[in-house]
Amino acid sequence: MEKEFIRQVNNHIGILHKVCNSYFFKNPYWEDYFQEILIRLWRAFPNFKHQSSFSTWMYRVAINSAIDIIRKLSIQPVHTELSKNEYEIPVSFSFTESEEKNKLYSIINELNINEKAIILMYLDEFSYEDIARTIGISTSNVGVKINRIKNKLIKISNRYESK
Amino acid sequence: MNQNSLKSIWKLAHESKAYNLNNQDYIQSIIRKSHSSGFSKIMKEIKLKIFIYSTSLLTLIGLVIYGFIYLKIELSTAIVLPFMFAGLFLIFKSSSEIVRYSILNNQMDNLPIKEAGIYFGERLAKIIKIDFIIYLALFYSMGIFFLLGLFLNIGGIKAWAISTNLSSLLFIFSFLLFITPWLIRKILNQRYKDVNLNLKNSIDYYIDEAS
Repeated sequence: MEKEFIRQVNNHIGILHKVCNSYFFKNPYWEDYFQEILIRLWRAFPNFKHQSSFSTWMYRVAINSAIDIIRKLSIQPVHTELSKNEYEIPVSFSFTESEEKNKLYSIINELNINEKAIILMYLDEFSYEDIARTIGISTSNVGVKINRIKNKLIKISNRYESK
Repeated sequence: MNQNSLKSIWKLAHESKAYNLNNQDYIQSIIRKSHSSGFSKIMKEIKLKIFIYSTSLLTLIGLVIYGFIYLKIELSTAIVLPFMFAGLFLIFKSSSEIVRYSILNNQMDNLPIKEAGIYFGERLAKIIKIDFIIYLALFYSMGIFFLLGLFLNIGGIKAWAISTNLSSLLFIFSFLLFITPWLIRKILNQRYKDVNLNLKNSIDYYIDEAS
């Protein structure tokens, strides 16, 4: 089971990056949250029943974990300073910042945690049905939300460009 | 940026080769841990606090039982009061750390995101409620116990006028015992205000607007 999990996560590691970048953009503890979500994915893996694709399941667990971490940090805000070597992050995992990517995540960062969940899956080409199942709302509601979020993103983007 | 270009910008921004590298050894080393470094430190700190507070509380209870029941030492109320305060403080601290630990340890990542939020809110409310009931039972029984002892010592409520300053002090202390659970509830509500607001906003956000 461990080998299967590692293989699947390795194939879809981009999802983890996207979720972490969206929820913890430029956060000094980005790597720590990345690791915590990875651990929680592994813990949740025995409950993966192949009713959806692995990537859909991974999005669900990773987004849930990220939101849960944000909520829990508001209860336990004290985060002990960690040294870089405590993370043991390989070079390929570290947050590479291209200008385009930075701008994109700066814009996404202005959305609330629920909007981020929906737009992330939309941008990654998931169907409305998949998004609806992951979030737990109706497909038509997904459509309404996506339109609103897209308009909001464009407004934020225009604000950035006019600066 | 326009509505149609969103996806293409997203795609372009994520055409990184880093995602295609083999990170299997790294993944394996991380999933062998129970928590990430930061969370591990937080959990260890909370566990240590629970251990210190509960061990101190048990030691205090043990000393009180040993002194008053086994050795039958008779001490004045003024000497007993600091022990009572210390005990109450330790109960409050250990219970609040246990609540914090159970909230942080609670996970429901496999549920749909909306349901996970609702479940988190319900569990949080339940934990706070149970915590409040424990305080209420504990502080009220102590308050009643104190008042009973007080009236027995001074010979009932009619004798209150001739009571000593110490009796007045005990009366005030009993009153404090009765209001403490409500004060603690206020503190807890304040502590969980942000997370409750966040949960309420999440639930409101997912209300079906399409129907």
